[in-house]
Amino acid sequence: MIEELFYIEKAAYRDSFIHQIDARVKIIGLFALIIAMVAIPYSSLVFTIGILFFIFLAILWALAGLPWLIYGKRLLMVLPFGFFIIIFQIFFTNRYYPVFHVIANLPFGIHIYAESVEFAIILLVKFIVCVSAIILLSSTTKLHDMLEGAGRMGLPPEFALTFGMMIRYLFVFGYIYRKINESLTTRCFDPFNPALSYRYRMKQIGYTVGTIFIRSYEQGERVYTSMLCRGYGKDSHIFIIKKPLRAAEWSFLLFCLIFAIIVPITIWLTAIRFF
Amino acid sequence: MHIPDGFFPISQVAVYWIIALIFIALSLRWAKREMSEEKVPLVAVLAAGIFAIQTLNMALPISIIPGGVSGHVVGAALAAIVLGSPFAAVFILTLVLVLQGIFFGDGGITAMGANIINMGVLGGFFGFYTYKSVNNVFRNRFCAAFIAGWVSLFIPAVVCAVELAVAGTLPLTFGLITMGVYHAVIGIIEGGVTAFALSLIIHARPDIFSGEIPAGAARKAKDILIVAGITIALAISIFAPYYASTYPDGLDSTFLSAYGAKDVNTVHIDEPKVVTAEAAVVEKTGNSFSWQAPLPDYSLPGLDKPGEVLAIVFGVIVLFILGFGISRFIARKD
Repeated sequence: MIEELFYIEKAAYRDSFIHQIDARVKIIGLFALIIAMVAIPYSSLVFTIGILFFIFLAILWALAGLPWLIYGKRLLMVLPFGFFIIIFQIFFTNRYYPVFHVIANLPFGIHIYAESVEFAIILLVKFIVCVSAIILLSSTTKLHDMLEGAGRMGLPPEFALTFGMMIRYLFVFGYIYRKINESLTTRCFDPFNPALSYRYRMKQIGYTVGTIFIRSYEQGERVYTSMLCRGYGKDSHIFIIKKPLRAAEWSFLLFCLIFAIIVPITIWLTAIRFF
Repeated sequence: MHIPDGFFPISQVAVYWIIALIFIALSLRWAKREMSEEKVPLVAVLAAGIFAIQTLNMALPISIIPGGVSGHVVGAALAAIVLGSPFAAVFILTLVLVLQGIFFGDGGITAMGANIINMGVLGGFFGFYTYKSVNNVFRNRFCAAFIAGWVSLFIPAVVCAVELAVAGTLPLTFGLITMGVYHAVIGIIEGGVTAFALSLIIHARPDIFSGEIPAGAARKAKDILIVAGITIALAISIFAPYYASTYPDGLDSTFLSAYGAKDVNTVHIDEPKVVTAEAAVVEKTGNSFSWQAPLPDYSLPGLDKPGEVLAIVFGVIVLFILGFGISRFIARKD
């Protein structure tokens, strides 16, 4: 994941209409989309709404001028746990359907149900749309801009200060992690090598973790000393200048909010009238 | 264990977020009270370090799935033990989870409340108090850190399975078995790495280790009592289903005898008459309400005796959390 950190930030430093939009607008707009997607009950309505939301996100991605390969790579990185839950849905009944119809019988009394397959696809659509929104947000907004945006929206100062410093040193530890990995490789140490005893491998990883812990602690001490030299005190907080939103940003925010609310309601009303 | 968006209904999302926010507020209060100005940059840089630590993957000690599966350290127990407070773990893991959720999409935005509860709150609290109790009893930091690391991963995984079952997106039995077994094995990595890392930190920088416990006799006796109590309760949970009598209890026996489903002097139960007896009671009282318990008759459907063991172990853990949490909440400071 730490390798991903570098190319995500690289993508966020590009320039486009989407990149230039204030972080607050993107945070609120895309979070609204995620909340709307999660709030839709587990029903076939999710398909239509999910597709519309995904098209909207795809247009924004295209406007940002980002390669689709980045999107694909990042999606693959976060798939495993969600995919594990989704794939096993097809073998189980659940509380969201009154009746289940078997569509395939497998050995050991395992069945695949039509309704469970539908439920698995519903979960997949929700998962893909929500993750896509996050990938878009982080690929078009610098970490520091996100922090400033959150600070302007009322993030507690203790949290903002700590989070800001964490972001600053994230990249330092990214490089430290790379160096540690390189030195372990140079010494022919592979944590996945079954020829080495498990205790030995665990000890090496444990000491590496301990080393990173101590190095981060000592880095923190050095940072504190240098901050003291620059007038740092216990009442110090991150200074975030006020920044009013432009008319175009207000319009984009309103559009996102209306889209996140109107699309599900319209689809729901259409479904009621249709049936 | 990072639950993504879409796996919880919105009502449950709100509940998990409210609980998580309470603990985040408490950790912020801890940060304000306990963190000297020196500790602010320290904790921030440590959070970045913990993020890097979480990316160090290692193969599982047992090949469960052909082709190999790896696991990594969460670090909640390590942070809580070294910094001497479970709230340190809540604070640091909240920072890490926010970053992972918003920047990497690893763990959802709406599911972040549940993720903070699982990995930050449960991981931190269970890790810290397990370390304290085991170290007080056995006076062995390495052993205590290993068990604390294991517990700090296993308990959140089991709770995660229960949360998904409550949401209706993962069957309880399947979730408990897969999540429980997988994380029980990964827990060995978490425990081992926590123990070796702590050992290195104590030897290299003993000054930064603030997790030492005062050796008060009363405190030790209390911790022995807690560990012994849990051990006995868990031992009973494992053996009870195999040794418990299958005969009905006094109240059941009286009820069945009154309706002719069982003779008072014998152990034989006439099953068809039991159904008739239950129907007769519903008719007499006019009350047809029936509660579908999630773990009926102390068992997990389809798992026979191992299911009963898991159900009782789960009950013991839940009651311990409730009892310990309430007593900590209402106990006087003195």
